[in-house]
Amino acid sequence: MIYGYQIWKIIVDAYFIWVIVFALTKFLLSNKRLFSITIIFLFIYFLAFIANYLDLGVSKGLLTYLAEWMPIVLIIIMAPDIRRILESAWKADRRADQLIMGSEKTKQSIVDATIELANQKIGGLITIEKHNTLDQYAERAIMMNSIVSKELLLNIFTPLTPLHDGAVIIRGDSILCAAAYFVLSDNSEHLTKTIGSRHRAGLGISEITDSMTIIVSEETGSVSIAIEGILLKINDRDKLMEYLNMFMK
Amino acid sequence: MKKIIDFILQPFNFFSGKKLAEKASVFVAKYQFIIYIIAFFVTVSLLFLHYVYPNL
Repeated sequence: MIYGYQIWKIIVDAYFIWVIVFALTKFLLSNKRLFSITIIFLFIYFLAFIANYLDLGVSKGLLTYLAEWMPIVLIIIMAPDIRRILESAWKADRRADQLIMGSEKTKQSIVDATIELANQKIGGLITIEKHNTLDQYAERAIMMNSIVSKELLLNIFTPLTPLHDGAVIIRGDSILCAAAYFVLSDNSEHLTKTIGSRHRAGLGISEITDSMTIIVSEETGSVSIAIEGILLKINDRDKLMEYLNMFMK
Repeated sequence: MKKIIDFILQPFNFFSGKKLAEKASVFVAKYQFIIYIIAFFVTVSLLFLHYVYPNL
């Protein structure tokens, strides 16, 4: 007996609580909007606790009332996201088990397109997905689901076309989407003031996911890759192919 | 007056400009073990509050 409770009951209770808390935590942290709203709600719960603890007349009643209705409000506000997350839960598990990186043809197409973009001094941003899903960026971009080819990549990045601004996300042998926007890196150690938003975007996504991004500068025509929060300048196509082979194996 | 309001709002502006929610959700997706750690501490806290300090 511990504190008047049977030990086995505490263990079973702990296990049930852990399962529920784990599922809830995973669910709430899986989506940035859900996460933001959860933080605001936690803040309100915290204020309600303080108001109760200090016995503050008006705010105690108001905040306690708000805190009681919070879960329902959360479900109503986030209904579409909750449905989408539940639908995609099993797909995410399947993806982790059956991760397929691009074929030799895909790698060759990416390298050819990158070199061509560099020669023509056309800006380009190509992100290759690995284990961490980039769905939350693809959702806000233009979905394509097309087979990777040099011609298509060149067409996407052609200036003044609707899709040329933003990044292309490649999943396996497909171009998942175009015109995707990432969080810009604010890592001042690696970035000089001359580095533009395309490089910052490439570096930004490499800092927070395990993806690899190829960046072609439209000013200089230089090619860089961003991986694991590091920006590397690539001098020739062999070097680029080498990095792609290492990343996409 | 404006300086006082800016001073009060400074912490909120600081956090809102950092896109913390986006970074946190992607960070958790990258390092999934963090969910186990968070779940563990929340579970222990709940059990502690229920069994040790039920009247807190």
